[in-house]
Amino acid sequence: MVFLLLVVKSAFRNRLRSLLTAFGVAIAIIAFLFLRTVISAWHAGAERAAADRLVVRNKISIIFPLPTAYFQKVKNVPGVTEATWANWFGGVYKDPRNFFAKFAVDADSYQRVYPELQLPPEEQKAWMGDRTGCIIGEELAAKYSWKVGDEIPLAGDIYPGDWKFTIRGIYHPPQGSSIDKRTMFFHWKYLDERMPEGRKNQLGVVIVRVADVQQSTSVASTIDKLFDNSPAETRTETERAFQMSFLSMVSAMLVAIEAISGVVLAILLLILGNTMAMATRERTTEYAVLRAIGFRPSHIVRLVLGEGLVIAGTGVALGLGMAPAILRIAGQAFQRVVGAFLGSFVVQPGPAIAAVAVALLGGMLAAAVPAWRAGRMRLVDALRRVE
Amino acid sequence: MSEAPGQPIIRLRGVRKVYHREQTEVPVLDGIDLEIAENSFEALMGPSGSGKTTLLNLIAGIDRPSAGTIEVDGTEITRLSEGALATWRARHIGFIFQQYNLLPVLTAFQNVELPLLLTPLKSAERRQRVETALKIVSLGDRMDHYPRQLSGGQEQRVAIARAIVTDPTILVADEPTGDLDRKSAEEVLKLLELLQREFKKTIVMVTHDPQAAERAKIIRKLDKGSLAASA
Ligand SMILES: Nc1ncnc2c1ncn2[C@@H]1O[C@H](COP(=O)(O)OP(=O)(O)O)[C@@H](O)[C@H]1O
Ligand SMILES: [Mg+2]
Repeated sequence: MVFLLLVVKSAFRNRLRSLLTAFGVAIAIIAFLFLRTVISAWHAGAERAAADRLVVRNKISIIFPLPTAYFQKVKNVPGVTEATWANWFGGVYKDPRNFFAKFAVDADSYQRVYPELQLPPEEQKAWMGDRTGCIIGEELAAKYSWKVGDEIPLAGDIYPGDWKFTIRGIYHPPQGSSIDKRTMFFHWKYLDERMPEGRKNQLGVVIVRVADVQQSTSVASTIDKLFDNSPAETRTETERAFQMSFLSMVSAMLVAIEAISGVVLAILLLILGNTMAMATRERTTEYAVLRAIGFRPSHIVRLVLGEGLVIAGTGVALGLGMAPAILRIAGQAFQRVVGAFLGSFVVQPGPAIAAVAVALLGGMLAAAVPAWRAGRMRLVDALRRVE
Repeated sequence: MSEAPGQPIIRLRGVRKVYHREQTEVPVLDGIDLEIAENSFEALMGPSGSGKTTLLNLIAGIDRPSAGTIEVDGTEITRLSEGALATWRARHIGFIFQQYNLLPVLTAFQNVELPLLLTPLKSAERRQRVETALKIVSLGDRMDHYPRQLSGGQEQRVAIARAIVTDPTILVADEPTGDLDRKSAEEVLKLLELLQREFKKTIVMVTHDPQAAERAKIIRKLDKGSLAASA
């Protein structure tokens, strides 16, 4: 008991330093959790994609379109039950920072391929009856306080010009659906209409549903074979794989985030190590006195390790205590920017456990070297430091 | 004083201590032969740097001689391993330092209890022993005070309580009054006398202070690595 007390009290001998260190640990843990959550939210976004949907895109790059003729050909492939297409619009609403996904789609077939994209009947009717009408997800509506009847002006980039769409419906996808709640859909026909001759009849991607998930792979290769050696060869993959590769830049970013999250943990170790090194140096004489009294080097090692553990543990408690609130706020901010590609922003238990384990083990590891030095020090030399 | 000198409890034979500083050898103790009787109170004097602390450390088993043997209470401590020596120290030696060396984060009670943590004593027994030790040093009413709340003399008395709580046979004190004013020094010296007289401790005390040395029954002078005894 007294020994334990000594460990705890020693850990907070220099209260300011120990608290600052604990805060450093807490911030590192939160930063780590945030970064890991971004990664897992991204994967979750890809994961909720349905396995029975395939995306056909231009083999060279997603930015090259497919001719309209491909739609019928793809639809006729055996095993394909439904097909539709969609064009990534790009475009800016007032400020480039107001990012959300905008797709030009063929409403009828799109809703057959994505039955979760449902509107109340009167909204559905209104959308179908308005050439320049659009529908938006509930979160997008909430974010900009948009309601049915509002107009959304967009500055085109991929499809140049000034665009104006009238909101005809707000969709509420069911729980667990792969339909993003922050996306805008409008009529592809309107897009095509406004394009000059050379850019008409272009499809961004063709999306199909297959009858049997087991045959996704064979259907995909049948489709791609259709267009072998044509001017626009295709690449067909599952919706999930497509999402993953949608922006290769993003996957590079994910690797970077992963690396940074590792760096954050390394910094955590350095913070702890620095504090423990200072703390043990200051107490050399005390350790020597304890040893003179009969304590073993192993006792001293335990004392120092315990101190590291207490400081790290305090940091862990602080970090986990503050994490939910901070991550919620950070998550919301983050989702506003790149939300279209993210799944739900929820801290996963895995990274949380990893962070706690690293911090606690790190606390001991950081204390290990000073502990070992303190335990190994020649008693007389350590005692003479007083003089 | 009239006590009959007891059997020698500390025996040094041909003890040499040489420190290595860079390439050169610094001889500090040069062939010390010394016997200290059980239940005696001896003072070790000598100019600064003459090796008093070194000699005391050797007797207390926190340092090892370069040559020679040291036997304390029947054990040849020069032959013990580090671990065995630590255990031996815990059982036989009580340390009193010039700077008291109490742990500032622990109360007087907890500081005194520290050495007992190495024993199998139960908490209630430990409490009783700690209280007894603190009463002997007249600090029964300061048990829950932290070192910073005590005067220097009181701190040193807590340190003495810590030194005697395990009931060791030998107390070693390195300039125990060096940092104290006259009055506190007197109290500490009286306490040491009491421990020798009533509790039959053998006390070896290094000191600069002739008045302190006077309390001892035997004064030994260390000079240039050798001893000269005087009564
Ligand atoms: N670890 C050491 N390394 C080298 N020299 C030392 C060491 N410890 C003590 N000495 C030297 O040994 C001599 C005796 O020291 P010490 O026993 O502390 O003397 P005293 O206690 O009588 O002042 C001094 O010259 C001191 O500098
Ligand atoms: Mg000295």
